[in-house]
Amino acid sequence: MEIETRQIDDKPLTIIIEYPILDTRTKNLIKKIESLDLMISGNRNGTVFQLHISDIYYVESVERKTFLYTKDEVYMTDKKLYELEEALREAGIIRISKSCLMNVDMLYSIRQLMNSQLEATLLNGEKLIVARTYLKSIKNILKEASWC
Amino acid sequence: MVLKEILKKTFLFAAIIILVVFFLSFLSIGMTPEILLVFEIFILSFFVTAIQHFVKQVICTYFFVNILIEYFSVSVFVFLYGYFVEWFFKSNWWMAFVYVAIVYVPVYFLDMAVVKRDIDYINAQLERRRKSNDKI
Repeated sequence: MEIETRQIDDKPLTIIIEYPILDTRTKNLIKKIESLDLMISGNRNGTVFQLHISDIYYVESVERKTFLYTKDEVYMTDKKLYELEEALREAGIIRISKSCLMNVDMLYSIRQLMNSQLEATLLNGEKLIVARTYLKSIKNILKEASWC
Repeated sequence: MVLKEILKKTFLFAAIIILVVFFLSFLSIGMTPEILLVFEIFILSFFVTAIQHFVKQVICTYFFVNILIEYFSVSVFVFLYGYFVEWFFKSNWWMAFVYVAIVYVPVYFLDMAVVKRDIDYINAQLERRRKSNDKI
């Protein structure tokens, strides 16, 4: 794969992908780039912000409220966890437990604790519990990404 | 992965052969204790698999608690089923719990090994991804 970049003034960011055949690898690459441009609105202290999906570290549902976590901030959203799960899957944000979705791009490492629970460490140092049922989803998404 | 797939298909194929052969025997010679036992085992397997599936849907974060609940649910079902089809007598009801434990202990260790392999794969992929990002 060859990457060419050039700066052109007064033009919006444009990405052109040239491919000999539209295979899985290319499709994954397109999905990934598209996900970088997706936005979601989140409420913090009564102010509504537009957040890039790629800035979200994880999403958590606590007492029927859904929170979006970025590197240092927390935002509330009206969307339900299952709605976000469906909408954000393509962007690499997948379910890791009954109440939590995680952005696999923000995953630093994963380990098994003494009590057999699985703990994910994110790039910002936060730790999340991963249910074993969803470990395969993380593995599969990384396997797909390794094609890019 | 290939061996796992072959083993999975082998077990499925063996189960289909047993079911078909015993069903044909049932049609030709009628019900015998051996044929009845095979059908009872298949019915038991269906319900145990359904119980395992539903327990995994309800509880999934605490693996050890999950496996204990699953073990007791399956044991109680095997006990009731075994009592109903007269596998166990009243005096040796605990046999159900022993049989289920004998199956569950190796399954537990097998699951631990599979999870460890998955974790190693995930961490290796993350490390590889970090290295390629550093290069860029």
